[in-house]
Amino acid sequence: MADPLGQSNPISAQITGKQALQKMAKALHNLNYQGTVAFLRNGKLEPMKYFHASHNGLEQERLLSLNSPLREIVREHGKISCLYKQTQQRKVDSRPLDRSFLVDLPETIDELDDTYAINIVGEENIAMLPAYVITLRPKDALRYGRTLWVEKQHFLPLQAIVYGPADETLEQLVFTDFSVQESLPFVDSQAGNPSPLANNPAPLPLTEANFIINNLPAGFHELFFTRRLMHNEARPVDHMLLSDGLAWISVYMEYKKLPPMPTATAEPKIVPAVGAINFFSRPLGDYEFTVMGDAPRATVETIAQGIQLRNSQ
Amino acid sequence: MNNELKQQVSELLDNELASPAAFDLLQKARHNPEITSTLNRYAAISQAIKSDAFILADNDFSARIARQIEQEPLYLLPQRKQPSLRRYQWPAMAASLAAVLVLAAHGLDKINTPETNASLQLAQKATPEPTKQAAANSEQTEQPLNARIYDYLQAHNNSVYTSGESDFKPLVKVTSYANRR
Repeated sequence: MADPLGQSNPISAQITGKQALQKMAKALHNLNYQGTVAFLRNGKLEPMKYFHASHNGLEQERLLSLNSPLREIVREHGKISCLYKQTQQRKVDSRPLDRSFLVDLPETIDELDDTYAINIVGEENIAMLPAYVITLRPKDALRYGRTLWVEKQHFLPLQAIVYGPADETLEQLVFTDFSVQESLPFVDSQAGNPSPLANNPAPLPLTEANFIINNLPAGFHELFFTRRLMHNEARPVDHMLLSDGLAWISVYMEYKKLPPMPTATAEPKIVPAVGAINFFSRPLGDYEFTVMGDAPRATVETIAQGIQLRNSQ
Repeated sequence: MNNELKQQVSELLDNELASPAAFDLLQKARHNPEITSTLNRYAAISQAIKSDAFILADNDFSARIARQIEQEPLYLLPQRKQPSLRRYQWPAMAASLAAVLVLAAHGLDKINTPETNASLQLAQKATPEPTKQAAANSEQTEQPLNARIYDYLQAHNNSVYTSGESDFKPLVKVTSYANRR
């Protein structure tokens, strides 16, 4: 496609782009499907076997790596466990918010009206299956554009690309084979030698956060807040998650117990992006704030610069 | 200087001194010019025995190198659990100096002779491995940037599991520190 985000006129399909995404949001949770998917991120290609089982409102997502390190990753019930095949060591991490390995969508697609233009711009085959090509073009420069290839029969995602400001591909996933099943088994995610649950952060009221964020970019809102242990430190880290429905931004607040770095004591740090994720870090008082997410660096920096300690109000 | 130290210097040059003792000796050399002088003298004698040609470096050669390194900017690059080079630059340079003295007469075109290979191994071996305490101190004062980023990513979304990096390899391949004003 010459224009990955479909600046050309959308095609007239039987459904609109928003309707297709709404169907996809339901299908992602409710159907049983499997396939071979390749993730491309940061120049690295990772092929994996994928399974999604759903039954009576419960769902389980599972990935099996095809390359070393061989591992099985299972997402269910607000946690993710990763079993390393060679050592049989299982690492479990709590996830207060369930997020798919494939695509995250807001509960209602209408949330995206102000920030993204959603259109079906064509039809293509992916993994030998006909699919709608749906573009989510940002209405401003504060977020990345996306294109989704959604299978026409069951409305499941077959390919997804995140584009940077210059339409460069930042992240991509694509199924090379895919099928929908009547049912799929739920696997036992307790196998192996479990490591102690490093974190079990429960959501906390946003008002308990020790900081506030002024002038959030348009479309972004606070999703949840928690405190979690990180870096093997005894003192927990405040973690706030923001989203505009598609892009996710994390804000971390850590207590600075170390002397400042000699070359830049009070200057913000810039770390190059990891895939679509940009980082920005700045000290504020006795704390260091790190903002990161799949949004342009300017957006991440704007959020970071808008942070204010709550007790300084 | 006592005979035990002289014996250790000799063993160091012959690549027969164990790493912890070699590190300890080079640490002492940092504050003891007599040890450094003995090191230089033994290396010169060894080289003189092996070859007629010999080049003696200035006494403050390694000190000048160390000063030059001090003046270079500090790059906050992610490290794979290695201690800061700056902690060990002096002993490492002292070991390198010994290797340079041994190599000098052979010249660059003879660098693959068994003697030079042994000397290179000496220089590499003499690069001190961090003690547990030193490593702990390093970790306390400087959280590796890539480890923090990994922790943040893991809490942020599921990408660490689909990137093949969940065995804790660094995710950021190149980093730079922007000192903006």
